[in-house]
Amino acid sequence: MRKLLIAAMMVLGVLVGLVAAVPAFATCAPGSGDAVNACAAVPQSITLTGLTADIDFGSVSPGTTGTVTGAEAYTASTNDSKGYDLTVTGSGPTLPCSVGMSGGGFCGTLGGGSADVLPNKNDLTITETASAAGTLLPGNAASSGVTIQATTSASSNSYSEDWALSVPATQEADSYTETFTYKLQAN
Amino acid sequence: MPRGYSVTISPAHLTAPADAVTVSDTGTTVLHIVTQAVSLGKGCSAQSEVTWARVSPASLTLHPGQSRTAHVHLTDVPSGRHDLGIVFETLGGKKGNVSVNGEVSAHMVVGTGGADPCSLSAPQHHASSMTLLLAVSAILALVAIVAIGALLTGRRRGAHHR
Repeated sequence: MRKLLIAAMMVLGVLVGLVAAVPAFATCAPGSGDAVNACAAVPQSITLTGLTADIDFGSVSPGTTGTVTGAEAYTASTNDSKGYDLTVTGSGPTLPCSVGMSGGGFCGTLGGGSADVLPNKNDLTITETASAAGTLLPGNAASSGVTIQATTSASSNSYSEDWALSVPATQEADSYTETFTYKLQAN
Repeated sequence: MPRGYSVTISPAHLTAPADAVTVSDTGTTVLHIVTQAVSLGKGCSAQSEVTWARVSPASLTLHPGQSRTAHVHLTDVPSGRHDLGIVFETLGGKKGNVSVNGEVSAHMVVGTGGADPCSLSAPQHHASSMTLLLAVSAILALVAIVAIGALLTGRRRGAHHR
């Protein structure tokens, strides 16, 4: 009986030691005697750096494609171990000229109805040339946007994008505008 | 030197009742920011604003190098676990054909209980850590029991031999 009691105490001792050891890795203990503990807290954060607020295609003749090389160049980073999701989305069907048009579009300022819009779905291409290289078609994405990159660990990535806008040969003469939103979400 | 705007928010994750998120202008331009709390509908539906959580201030202006702390206010939270995005949106310009907004969002966990069906992977991380700890404890306990059992058996056999 006494041996059984000793055995149980040994098992309990192992478990207590294990539990006690866990906080030692997680916290900074105060110094004692002549010992000095150096402790540094690194705050968890997420950052979007260098996003340009405007992109200008200038004058694009009907039947041609306007391009802006390096339209966007920015960095997304986090020291969070779960990483981030980075997406881009167009206005969606919120602008008067693109009601019912999923993926949104470039609206003409003269308000000529459906003929006075450049749908993102048909006409816009974004090409990633640095991280997550490839072609994005924001007009084909759901309203939550098209994913540029999703990471699952602490990460810092630089992105560079070329934008291209194809203008049909019969497009009405007008000045067209659209709003895009880049979303950087901590996972 | 960044050519556009730059935003940092900290922490990237928070769990209620923690409610403070600091936003900083880490670039060289003045930032006009609007805030909101949205449900992270990843895997289910698009992100949507929730009525039971709001962020104050609702809008703010930051000059380069400035920081400000925003707070999340919760009222009548529905039962269960919820994953929120605490969004800081910088509004784009009006100089070109394309205006570009930038959103940076912290991930906030509100409530307990069953996982939000639309939640991100956060709960699995916590669950895996706890599972690992329990597994290690169980293995160590088993090893200790086997060792003690072997020791006792050896002593009994020794006593029989004597």
